[in-house]
Amino acid sequence: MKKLLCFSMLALSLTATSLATAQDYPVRPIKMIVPFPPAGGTDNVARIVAQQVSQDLGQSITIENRAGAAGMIGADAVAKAEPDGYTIVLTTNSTHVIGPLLNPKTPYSPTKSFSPVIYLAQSPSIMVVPVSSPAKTVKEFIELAKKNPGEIELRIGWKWRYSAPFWRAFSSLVWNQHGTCPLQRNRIGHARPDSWAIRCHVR
Amino acid sequence: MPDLIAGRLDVMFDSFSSGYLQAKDGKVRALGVSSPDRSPLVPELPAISEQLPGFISMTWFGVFGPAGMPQSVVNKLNASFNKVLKDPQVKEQLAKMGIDGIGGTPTDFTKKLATDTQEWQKVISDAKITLQ
Repeated sequence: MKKLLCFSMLALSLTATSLATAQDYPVRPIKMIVPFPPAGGTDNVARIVAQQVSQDLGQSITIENRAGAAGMIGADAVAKAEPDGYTIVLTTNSTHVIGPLLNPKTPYSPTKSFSPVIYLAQSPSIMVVPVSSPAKTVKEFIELAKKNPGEIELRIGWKWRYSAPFWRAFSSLVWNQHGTCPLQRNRIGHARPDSWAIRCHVR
Repeated sequence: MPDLIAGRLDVMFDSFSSGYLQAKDGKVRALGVSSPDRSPLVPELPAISEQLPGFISMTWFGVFGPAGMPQSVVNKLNASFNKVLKDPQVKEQLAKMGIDGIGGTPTDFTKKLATDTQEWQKVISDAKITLQ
């Protein structure tokens, strides 16, 4: 009888604790992982909103930068964390759309491994050329490329997430071609491990 | 970006906040933005779609937790972020970086994720872009 009473009280108190956890959330600081380096675009967005969200929720939000593999390392850390709301990630379509489509070795599923919280914001990309480039407008760039059939080289550096699909969309619109645009690592003798290059063949 | 600045690259698509600053400093030349319209920050910079109809592409920012988060916790976080996005100071700080706050429900986000994935799937498979 005593054992039964103790067990019931234990069960009751455990239930009470878990109820309190979900309903009183947050009761302690929240960790927000930013899977990109400090002072980058995503980090800036995180710092702007985190401060205000902290005030609103009454608990501090600690930002932790965990960069690497175009954001996949940080994103994966959150995918594997306790789903109690105390570890979240502020990220971009790089980790949850483009990356998984390009990389079959992505360690998570963007849909199955995560709970979506909010679509926060959006921003365009900007097309840039070297200052030494003869092209001064998009039209001029297209003309330049058309006059020089062969290879247009697009070195992406570590920002392949922005460049690769854009380049393909761009080239398909410009040249209406469906050649291959292989994404090659460390081409052109560049030493940086995160360096990628695309060579699109222009006919 | 150092490779592009050195002049060894032909073209690059960069995040707006980063590329815009580099262009402003005269380190690279900006040719266009990938949004449907010109950015109010740089009204003299054309939208790429003005010269290449249909070329529109955006980067987005979102918040996720691990799968299996209690709905009440998701909802509380969602409500707080939505509230913060309406703050004029936050709006201004984001706008300065060329970023538009959006917000919405978790379901809105799930739908957006699905639509985007479908679109990019098509772009990437058409181009046969593969990692080597």
